[in-house]
Amino acid sequence: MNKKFKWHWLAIVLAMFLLIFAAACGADEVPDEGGDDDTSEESGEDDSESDSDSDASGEEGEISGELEIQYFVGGYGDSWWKEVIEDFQATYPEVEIVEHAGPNINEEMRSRWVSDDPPDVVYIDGAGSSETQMVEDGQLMNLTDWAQDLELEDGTPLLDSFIAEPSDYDGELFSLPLVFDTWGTWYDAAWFEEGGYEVPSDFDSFMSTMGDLQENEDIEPFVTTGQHPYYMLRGMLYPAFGAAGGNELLEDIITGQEGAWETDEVRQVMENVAAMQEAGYIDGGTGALNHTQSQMNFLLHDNAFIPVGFWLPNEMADDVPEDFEFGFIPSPMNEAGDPMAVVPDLRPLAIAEEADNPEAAKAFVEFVFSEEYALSFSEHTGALMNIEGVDLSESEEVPPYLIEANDLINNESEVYYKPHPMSSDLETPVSDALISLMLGDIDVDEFIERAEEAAADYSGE
Amino acid sequence: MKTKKTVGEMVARTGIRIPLVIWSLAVLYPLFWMFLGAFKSNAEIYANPWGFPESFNYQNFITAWSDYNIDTSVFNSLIVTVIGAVLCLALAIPTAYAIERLRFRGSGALFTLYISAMMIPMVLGWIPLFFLLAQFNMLDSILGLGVVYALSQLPFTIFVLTSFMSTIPKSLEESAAMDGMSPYGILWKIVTPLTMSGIITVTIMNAIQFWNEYFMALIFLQSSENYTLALAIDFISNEAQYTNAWGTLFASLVIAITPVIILYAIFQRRITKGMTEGAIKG
Amino acid sequence: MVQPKKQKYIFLAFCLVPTFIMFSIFTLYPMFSGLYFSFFEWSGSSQTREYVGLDNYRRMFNDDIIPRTIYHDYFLVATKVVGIMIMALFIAVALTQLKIKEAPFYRIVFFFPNIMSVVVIGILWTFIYNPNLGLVNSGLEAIGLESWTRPWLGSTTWALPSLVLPSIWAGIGLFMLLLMGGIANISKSNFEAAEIDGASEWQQFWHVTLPLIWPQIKISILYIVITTLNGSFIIVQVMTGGGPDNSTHVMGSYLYQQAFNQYNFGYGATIGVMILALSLITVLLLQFLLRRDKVEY
Repeated sequence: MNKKFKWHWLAIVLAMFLLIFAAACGADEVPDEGGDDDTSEESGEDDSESDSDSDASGEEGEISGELEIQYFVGGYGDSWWKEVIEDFQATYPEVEIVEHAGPNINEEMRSRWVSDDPPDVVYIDGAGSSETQMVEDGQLMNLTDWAQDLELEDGTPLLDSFIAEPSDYDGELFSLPLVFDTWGTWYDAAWFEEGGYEVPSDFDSFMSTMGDLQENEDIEPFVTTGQHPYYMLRGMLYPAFGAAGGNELLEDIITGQEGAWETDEVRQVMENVAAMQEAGYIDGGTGALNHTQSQMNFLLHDNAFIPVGFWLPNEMADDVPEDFEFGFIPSPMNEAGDPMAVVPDLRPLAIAEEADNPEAAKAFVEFVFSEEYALSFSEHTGALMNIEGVDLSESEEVPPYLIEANDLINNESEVYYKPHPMSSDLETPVSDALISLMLGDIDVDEFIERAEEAAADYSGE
Repeated sequence: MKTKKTVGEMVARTGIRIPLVIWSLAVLYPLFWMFLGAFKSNAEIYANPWGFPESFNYQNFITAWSDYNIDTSVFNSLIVTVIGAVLCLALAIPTAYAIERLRFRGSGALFTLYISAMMIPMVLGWIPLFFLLAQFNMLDSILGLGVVYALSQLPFTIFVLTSFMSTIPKSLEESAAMDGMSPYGILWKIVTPLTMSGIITVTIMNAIQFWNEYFMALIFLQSSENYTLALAIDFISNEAQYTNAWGTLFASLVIAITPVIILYAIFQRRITKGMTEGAIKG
Repeated sequence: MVQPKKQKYIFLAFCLVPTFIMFSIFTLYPMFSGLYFSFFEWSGSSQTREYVGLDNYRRMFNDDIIPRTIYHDYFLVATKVVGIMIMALFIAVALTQLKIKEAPFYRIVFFFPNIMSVVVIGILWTFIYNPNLGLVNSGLEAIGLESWTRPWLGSTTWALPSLVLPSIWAGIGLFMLLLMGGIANISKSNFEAAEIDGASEWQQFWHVTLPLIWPQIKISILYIVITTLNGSFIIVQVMTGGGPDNSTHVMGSYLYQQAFNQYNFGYGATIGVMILALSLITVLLLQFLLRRDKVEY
């Protein structure tokens, strides 16, 4: 009797524990000290960590306290960031800067963002980051009004000095485009000259050059990374859509408009991709390659063309063979007679909605956008910062291909803009279908069907 | 008749050896390749992936060790492994004993609960666990990660220990109880020593897990001075994708795996013995 | 008599309660709150989330990729169980029953992959399968089978089967030891009796060894099934990321992709519920199928 009673007692205790936890589950268990009513909070008062430093930032005009900066370190390296941060520190000695940087930083900092304790400034780039998602989740500060007043040293408003316009979310501004990236197609200029291969200027000449390469060099001329099919999507297809249907078509594709993939222009582009596959111009190993492997193949002349952004030379700097000479053209997917098309890919800088130290964050963002740092960015990374009118030729450290490419972009090709990056909910299924098309597993009709389905799913959400 | 059998036997023995030798090669060659890769420059890895390096240079090891603070990571990994393994045992031994030896209502249900926990897709709990650790102030802390590790292997440890304990003759405990030994004494002075081979076996298996784990470390640790070895390697591996530094990656893989191999070399008899004696049963 | 009883209960509580509390906090609670998120639309990277009821479940039943991930999972389960059990059984019998001098060497070597991180194994095998530098293709070329070379991980047909070999490679050691343990515990007299009856080695294996190590076989199979269903995503993640074109996605890697790459944590949690349900059903079914009377010895 006694024994049974005791055992029931224990069982009840155990059940209680379960219940408590079940109940805890029912409650909102995310520690939400901040709550959602935070639009007006400028000083770091409500923060769970409430470090005394950040309180100082409330004082007018004084920039001090802790400033946390998150930046992704990928192909461009981090030397430019180190320089800027050092200079900023020298200008604002009161600020205590904490850097969160690395190739994996988006994953590492994710938990900070989830718990409403984000860094102050974030450079949005690399795997695991999505500007669109951050805006949708309300994680970024609305910069629309503040950015109006920003000026470069010579007094021109910053917003008028961008090469490419910032992402536009229903007329609001949540980020400032820092890095002007452009996808394009790379080749080895030295090799092409030596072999007498024509540098393509439209799809027809692209195909004929690939035919020559295939015949003379016994290679499959075109390679990209199959593990990240968006290289193909952003590097080859966006420019193709731009060339064929302009900004409008590009916008329809990116925002998942119904019927966009079924248009004749898009069908023609996809037929062209299929033609590359059927002719055996696409490397059969593409599906297995990650991006550095595909780039290595390209450097080793296993392939001749590769669609990558501006970061390629910097990323592969240690592995470039001696007589290799980078050549860059906008992806030649345009029909003969049309100008080549460029679709910029912007890497923005933003301030967190929940920044502990928004004043210092703003000071930093303002500090970064200057012609001086734009030039030094090109020197450090071989790529462009998104500021117009920077004279690259005055520096000897800027690589020749960049000056050439800059010229090509400015003068000989048409620049098309996407409204904002494609959401990964749409990009993932489209990329999946794309890799199947490139491997020859499905035909153009099936591809279009799947892409339309993906767009319908995306807009339906 | 007799000789014929031996000849046949010899042929059979040789036949048996062929797959064994092939499989040994299949296991050893990739490891060997990794060691060789650690001495190669990047260009060499691509130009001559499967051969010997032209010269043995230690640059990759130096880079791995100095640029990526592998020494700190090794230390962190050691700490987290020890915390995880010890805490796991401290929690598992009493429960395993109670489930196996003390008759009480619900013991079967409790056992089933622990065992089914082995089927929980761990990914699911990571984000809630993150908030939990944040509330306990155990985020970005080696201690916190150690606790999480310990609990992640708890079901498996209980599972193994109960089966080991079931092989201990009851009479030993009974006679100890006759002599007036308290149940606590029986647990610590009789049962624990007798289960030692099981404890060692399961601890080694747990330690290997903790030493190698990286998904949870990635989520729960943030500052680089707290990185575990697996995390440091993941970092290098990620960076290798952007800087193509495969040689450094292989060097750090070698650094990571060497202590495990040494440990295994020392304890391999124990592991095998543990498996044989305990004979984990269904 | 009451006193010792009471003490016994205190002792029992001492044994069970602290462990259970920790277990509840760090395992049950996170799991249940994970399940709870399956009713929300939540990116998993901010505080904003919206209760959507069963929407995620509806979406899951309409998701074309889900059936494929389930198939891939069970493909891996089946091939791994068959591959690992046959190999491990063969090795275990060879190393214990047949007097091979260098048996300890094999025993040590075959366990090596078990002490390596899955991440390391994944990186290693990605290189082995590399279409240009890889050992597999170079090997095939060396023996004149050039037509067999293919981009293993880059082909929608071959990527999934290519994942089986590393999984078996990494898994054999543990089960080999388990089975060797079982065989070593069989008393010699069983074999002697069989020999007197004129049973061949093969018959001995079939009628003595196999039935007597059935418990170990059963536990090995269950363990492979469980760890595959909820751990195979790591090797998929490292080696192929689920691609090309979802041809290698298993439930776990799809969960990971949805929750952490596509910012659909709520949907990811829903997939987690499915994994849990399928694992439980599978294990129960297996328990039933593998039921066989224990042979006493």
